[in-house]
Amino acid sequence: MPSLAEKNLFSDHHAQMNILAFWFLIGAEVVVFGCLFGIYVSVQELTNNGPGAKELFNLSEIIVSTIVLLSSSFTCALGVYTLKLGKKTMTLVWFLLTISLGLGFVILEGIEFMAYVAEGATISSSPFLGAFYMLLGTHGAHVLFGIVWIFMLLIQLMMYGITKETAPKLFIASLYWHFIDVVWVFIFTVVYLLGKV
Amino acid sequence: MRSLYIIGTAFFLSGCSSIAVLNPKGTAGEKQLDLLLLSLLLMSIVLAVVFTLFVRFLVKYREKPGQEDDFPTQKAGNKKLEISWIVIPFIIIIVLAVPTFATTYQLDEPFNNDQDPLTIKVTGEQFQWSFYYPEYNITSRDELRIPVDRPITFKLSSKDVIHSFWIPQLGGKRDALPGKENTLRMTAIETGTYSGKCAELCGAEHALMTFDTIVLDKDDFSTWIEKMKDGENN
Amino acid sequence: MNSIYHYFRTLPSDIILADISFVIIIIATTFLLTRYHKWKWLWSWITSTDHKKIGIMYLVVSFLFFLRAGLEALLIRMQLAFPENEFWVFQGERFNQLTSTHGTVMIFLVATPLLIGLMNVIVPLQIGARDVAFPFMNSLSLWLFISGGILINVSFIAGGSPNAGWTTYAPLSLNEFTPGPSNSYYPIGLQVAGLGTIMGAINFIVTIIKMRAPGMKFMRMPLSTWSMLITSVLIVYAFSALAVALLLLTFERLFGTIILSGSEGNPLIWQHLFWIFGHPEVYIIALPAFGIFSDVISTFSKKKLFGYTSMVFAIILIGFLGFMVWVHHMFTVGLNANINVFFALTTMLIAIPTGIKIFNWLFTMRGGRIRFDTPMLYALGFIVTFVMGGVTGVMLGSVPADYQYHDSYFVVAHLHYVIIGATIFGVLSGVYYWWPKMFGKMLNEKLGKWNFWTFVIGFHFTFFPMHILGLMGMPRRVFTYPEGEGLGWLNFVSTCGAFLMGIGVLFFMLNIYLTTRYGKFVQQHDPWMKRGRTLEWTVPSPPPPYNFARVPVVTSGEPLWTAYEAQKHNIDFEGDYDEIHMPSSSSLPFFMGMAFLIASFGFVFEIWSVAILGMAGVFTTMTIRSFQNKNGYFIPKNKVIYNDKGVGY
Repeated sequence: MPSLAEKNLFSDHHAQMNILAFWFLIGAEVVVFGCLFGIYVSVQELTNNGPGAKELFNLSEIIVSTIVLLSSSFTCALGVYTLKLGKKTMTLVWFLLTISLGLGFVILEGIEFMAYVAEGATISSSPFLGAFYMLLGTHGAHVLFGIVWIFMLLIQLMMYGITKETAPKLFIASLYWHFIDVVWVFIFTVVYLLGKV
Repeated sequence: MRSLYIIGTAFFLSGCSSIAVLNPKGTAGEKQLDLLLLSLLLMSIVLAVVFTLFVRFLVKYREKPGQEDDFPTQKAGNKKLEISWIVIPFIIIIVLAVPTFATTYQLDEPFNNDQDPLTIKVTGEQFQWSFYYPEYNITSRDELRIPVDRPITFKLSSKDVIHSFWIPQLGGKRDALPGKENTLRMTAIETGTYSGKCAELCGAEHALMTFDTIVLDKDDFSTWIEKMKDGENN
Repeated sequence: MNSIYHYFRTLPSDIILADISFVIIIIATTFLLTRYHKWKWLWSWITSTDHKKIGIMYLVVSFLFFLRAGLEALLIRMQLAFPENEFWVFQGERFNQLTSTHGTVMIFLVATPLLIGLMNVIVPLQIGARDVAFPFMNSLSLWLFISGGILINVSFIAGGSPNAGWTTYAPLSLNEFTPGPSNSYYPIGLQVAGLGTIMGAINFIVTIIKMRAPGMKFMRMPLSTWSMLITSVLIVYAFSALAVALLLLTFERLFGTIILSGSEGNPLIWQHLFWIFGHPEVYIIALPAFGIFSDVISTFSKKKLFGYTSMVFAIILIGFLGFMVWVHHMFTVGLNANINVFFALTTMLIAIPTGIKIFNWLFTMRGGRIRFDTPMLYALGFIVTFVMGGVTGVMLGSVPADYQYHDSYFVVAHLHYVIIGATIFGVLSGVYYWWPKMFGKMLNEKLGKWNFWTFVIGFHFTFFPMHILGLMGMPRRVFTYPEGEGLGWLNFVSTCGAFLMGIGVLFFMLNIYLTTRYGKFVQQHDPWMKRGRTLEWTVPSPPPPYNFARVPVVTSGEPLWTAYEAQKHNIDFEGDYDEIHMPSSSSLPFFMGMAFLIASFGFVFEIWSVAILGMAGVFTTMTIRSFQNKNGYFIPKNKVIYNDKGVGY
């Protein structure tokens, strides 16, 4: 059951249209990542005598960045919870924590990529690596975009407080954030776990 | 069914001997022509029905002077009619699909060894074709010579971009891809010279990437092979 | 100075001519706008968020692209008029550029946006809405489309056009075989335009789901609206696949990945991705046309659409099956027989819902009072043409026979029969039909009939011979053919037909000019002699910015017709007059589009500073937008009342 506050915050006709539009955008994103996964899986074996998934990846490092990103989903959910309760400061704190964790993830990913490049595994080494960087790069760019977006919304939250304009925007941004986390779960499974098998 | 084809073919060929696909000189081309004619026949039925109704309704129900203020009866639909134009097209599709499936698998089937098939490795590159005969270890460029009535297995590949190997009078095309080998099988049934082309856009001189296909009888083919071997040795 | 002189000395004559005409057009436009003090007027259009104005701008811009790509078609036909012909400079490389841009522009920058433009005007009117759900985003879609369109169109005079066909198959489209900016224009320009298309589609979906007038249930929506809803869903999924394909090609050309390369990677990935988009795209540009024809045939027969429910389900089924047939474009790449026959079956199955639609249209006419006005003529021309294109489609689905047709002129004939037959006829039909609604004047019927007959006869003369040329063994995309194969006279007939089509287009332009200059305003909400059936014919022509002064009462699928049958002049409107909230116009979409354009040039020529500058512009405009408060303005109540009672009725 939606709480009273939630009903008031998101029942505005315009907010509802935004949320519906956003779900279709997610639909488009699903196709985008689906195709990127398709490319990756179909060229996975084409390593051009370079390193393959087995040689390249270090699972323990990946698990750290996975934990970082997934916990940001948790803090994000808490942020939405406090948003619905109308607690401005707590919302700010949780969302700031969310984007900090997101930033941590991006930095870890950057370090990972640089290590690969140092080993000579660049984007043009093999079809496998090309598809790998394309898939993860697209995901990473989404995380980065989410960080900037949520940051701007937080500024608006500070300026105007929790209103019928700011609250649905943050809610939509949180949906986006959960979505890119779900994509990461698939990346972790398909690229890293199955790559190691 | 076969007799229908023959009548149909005769009708078509009366003025169409220059239309390569309708005048096949190869086994694959014949099978493909059969399907073409079958589908054309089925589709002609559809066209006839549609055009008859079309003309009839247009003539009968055009607005005549004095009818400007009419309110014609508004019909929402008709279950029986609507079901009929789901079921009948479905039947037509089945009639076309079954031979389509059969022929697709037939053309995909490798030749038996006792048919003594000849393998030719075809390589496309910008902008020429080369034909390598592993059995005789000879290579011919932009000219393909094959014996009549002997099954041919073409192994197609490309050195650069995608090309498509097509001899309209012998049978349908197959792409020549870089990094992959495709197979195309056919048997020529009449001697003669047939033009071959590249059907996939491959660059500036795509239009000029043609070759002659010369179908020879057994003796002429052997003579040619000997001549080519001598040429290679010299 | 010397090098500039040398540069112009080495330019081919066609590019010099294009350069000169480009400069002349710019100077003439600037002069006219200044002479008649129209800059402010132009700016008010550029920044408009009114769905009708945006729709009209879509139509105007894509019509300009249509003229350009049509001119290319004539050049193509000139080169192919005779065997071993050498017309001007259009052989080899230059010919490939012509065919590639002709196809790319016609599909992406003409067919798709023409329909989006028309639907932008009509859909909100048909569902009783005052605007689309997101007027700002609507304007942004337009400007992204225009930016992408400009990019593809200037490639000709700035570094070379794409030359690997509109399908741009790898490896031909990779740096290794076509270096330089030419084929980079394709993925980057289309990426920008495609982004706008996806936004536009989401806008349509939300508008149709959330903004229908009270009583306008889903199963009461006119077919144009229904088809645009399904089309929009197709766009959301298909254009996302295209986005990935284009991203992949961009990476290959700009950042050195080797996924599509022939030696290390797998070039077929491009074909799969492209056709997963490409086949639904066929329905994206066909379904809205089907919707238009459904409305037009029903209106000009004075009959309710026969089998409305089955029509709706046929659209949905076509949209669904459209995603499951892409391999029929790849029957000859050497996939195994099981895959080929599966896709043959799905391909043939599409004939069933399509057949349902054809027969429903025919039976809509039965028992009616058919009038042959130009919109109806185009609808009837469509039935004949499209059925012919449809049956060749089924023939192409038969795999072994397709081995013969594939990549031959038979396919060229088929695709022009369906795309011109459905989309272009559909747009022309819709433009004649809704012109009085958009501009308040009827297009001239006499010129309309000249337009129709020259265009349609020219069409069949151009494309029917191509079926036979294909069967004679003429591959597509060839710039010449040998003397001895007997291909000459059919090609010549085809060229003559193309010029007749060109004359048809001139009649259309003449009609627009004369109507705009001398036509009388119609003064009625329904100028089609009390034949209108749907909501767009209940508002003044042209409608006020807010479309509906009061909320329309929808009690049936064809509210206006129901009112006519009850001997009423118009439908009832609900409630009292009130002030109306309007979205304010905004220049941000225009600037964001221009920023994308700058960034795209940076990417195409790999000048990273320009690319970064452009992207910074994009993000700046996005930030400004994010911080903009809810804005808009109100049209006062007394003005609404005055407009509603004063004019139009």
